[in-house]
Amino acid sequence: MEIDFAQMIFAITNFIILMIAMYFLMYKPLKQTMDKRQDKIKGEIETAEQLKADADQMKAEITAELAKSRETAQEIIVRAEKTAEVQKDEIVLAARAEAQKMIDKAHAEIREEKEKVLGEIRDEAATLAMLAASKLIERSLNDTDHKQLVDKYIEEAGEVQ
Amino acid sequence: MDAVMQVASSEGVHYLAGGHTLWEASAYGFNFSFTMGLTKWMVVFWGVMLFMIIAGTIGARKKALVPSGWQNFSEWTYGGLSNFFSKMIGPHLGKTFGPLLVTFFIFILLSNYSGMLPLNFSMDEGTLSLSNLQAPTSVFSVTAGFALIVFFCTHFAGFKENKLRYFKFFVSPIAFMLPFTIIDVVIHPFTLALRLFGNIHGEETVVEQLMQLSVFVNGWAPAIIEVLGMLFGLIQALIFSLLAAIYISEAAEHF
Repeated sequence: MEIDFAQMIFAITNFIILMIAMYFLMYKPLKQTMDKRQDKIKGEIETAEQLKADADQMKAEITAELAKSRETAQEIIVRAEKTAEVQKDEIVLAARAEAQKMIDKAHAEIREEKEKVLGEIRDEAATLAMLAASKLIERSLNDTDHKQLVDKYIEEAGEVQ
Repeated sequence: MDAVMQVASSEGVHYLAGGHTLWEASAYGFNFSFTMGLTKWMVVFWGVMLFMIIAGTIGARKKALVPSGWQNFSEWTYGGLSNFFSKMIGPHLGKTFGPLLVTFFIFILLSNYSGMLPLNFSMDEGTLSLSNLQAPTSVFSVTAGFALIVFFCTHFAGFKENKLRYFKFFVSPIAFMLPFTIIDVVIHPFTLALRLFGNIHGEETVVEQLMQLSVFVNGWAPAIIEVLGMLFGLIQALIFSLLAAIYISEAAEHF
């Protein structure tokens, strides 16, 4: 077995030179490129995750908002229905009261008219009676004439009426 | 048989320039030397280096957010390996030793495969002949150098993470263990160097010999070994970087 120290020194020095050259020319730049790529990918994944989280949160918010809006709408509808019911009752009551009032008024008018007519009839009758009496006084009447006279008077009254 | 022995013993180191041995010694079956010179595998070493640097620079030049083509392949390679080692030794140690382990894996893999390229031109007696290149990882000096880097990195990691408490590891659980832990510390990088060298050198030697032997139909037998070599090359690169990672994380997590 031969060991030549000059050759050994050649191998060692050249290998160390090769290692240093490879480190600066290949390993270091390659590692930088790969690290940069890794960082970029990591950063992009993080951004994507952040965006997804934001979207999820937004979705939850929108859903909550929608549910709240639906609730509010339902409330409004219920309230409106209640109000409508109350108003309907009020209107019906008012209408009924109005009708009653009108009926009452009509009744009163009818009664009034009736009384007025009756009063007029009564006045007329009195006048006629007065007229008849004056006629009776004007003529001395006998019993036969009396009947004729009354009949005639009634006739006249009928004509006058 | 003589040819096999000869190739195995000489390890096929050819000097293109220089080759003056300044110092030589022999001990425990090892021949130590210090020789100034340029060998063929050094050129291959530089070729692999140059290929890695150019390919890496082109791959990292474009900084598109959506990668495609060569950038995609570079990111896949670097990202995959870096993640693999980071998972194994932890993100803290991975930051310090990740580039070392990734470079080890890619360089050893490409070096192993470079030994299969038939681009070794040689003029023998006036005729041009082509043979496979010599992979840098099939030279023991190179794998030993790599193992030495792992050795220093292991103890640097241990010392950095545990400070002075790290040295307690050598005498734990009792002081009697000191010789054994020292052997352990030496054996780990030694096996690392020997395993890589043995596998790649063995594979190359087998291919070389099969090319020369006339009993096989030329090309077919080496092709089978080359296919296996593709697999071995990957496995050896993986084993070397994996064990280096394990040694580093072991040293760092002592206490």
